[in-house]
Amino acid sequence: MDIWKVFRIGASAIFAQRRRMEILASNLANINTTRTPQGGPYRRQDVLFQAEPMEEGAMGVRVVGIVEDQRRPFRIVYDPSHPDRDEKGYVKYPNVDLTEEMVNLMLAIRSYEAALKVISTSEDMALKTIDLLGR
Amino acid sequence: MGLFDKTTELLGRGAILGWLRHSLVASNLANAETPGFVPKDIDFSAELKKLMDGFRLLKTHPHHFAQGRFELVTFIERGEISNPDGNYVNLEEEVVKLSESYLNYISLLRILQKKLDQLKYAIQEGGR
Repeated sequence: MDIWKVFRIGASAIFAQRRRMEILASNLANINTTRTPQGGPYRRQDVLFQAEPMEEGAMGVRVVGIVEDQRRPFRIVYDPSHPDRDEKGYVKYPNVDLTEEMVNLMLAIRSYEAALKVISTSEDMALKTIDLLGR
Repeated sequence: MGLFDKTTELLGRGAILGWLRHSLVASNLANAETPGFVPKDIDFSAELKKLMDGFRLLKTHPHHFAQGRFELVTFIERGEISNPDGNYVNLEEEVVKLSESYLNYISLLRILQKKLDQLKYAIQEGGR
């Protein structure tokens, strides 16, 4: 039985959610980016979470990868003056949806807060246990 | 009987069990958005009852009840409806369980403290 394990679980969740927020920020920043190093418009990205077993059945969480959204189509906007238009005057914009990203951001913040709450609760429990020794 | 009676020992073990449950809640909250994750829990009252039953048995071997590790812990899988990604975590339920396990642990600790205070009192008064 490891008393510190719960802190490691909380820390893993905080780290994973922060990674996710970085990716969401990248999506929002590139909502209108039509040029990328690999060519073509920016593709929406998302993190892939995986449960990481620790002892006694408890699990932390880890970001195991960043996946590009290949499934969703690009936004097609008619803009004949845009340098990246096709021959018919249509421009492909990233497949990022502002509303969806904002909702995901809120979810990430909530999960981040939940993990913080776990850590502060555990800290309180640990301190109260240590107090037993001082009596 | 040693210095510590069975109640004290049981309270200590109950606190360990409480901490274990707390770490499982932490694990469920951490994986609230992991695809395919099934939350885990222990049936606290059932496990505690098992412990109490255990304490009614005679100690036939010095190592009985001596290990810090719980082997009698069972995991129950909760939640019937999953998210589309196969995640069964109910965030609200886990948050409630977090407070529950916290209060449970603190109350066990308080009683343990009282027991230790009693012991201290007995020692002090005995020394007069």
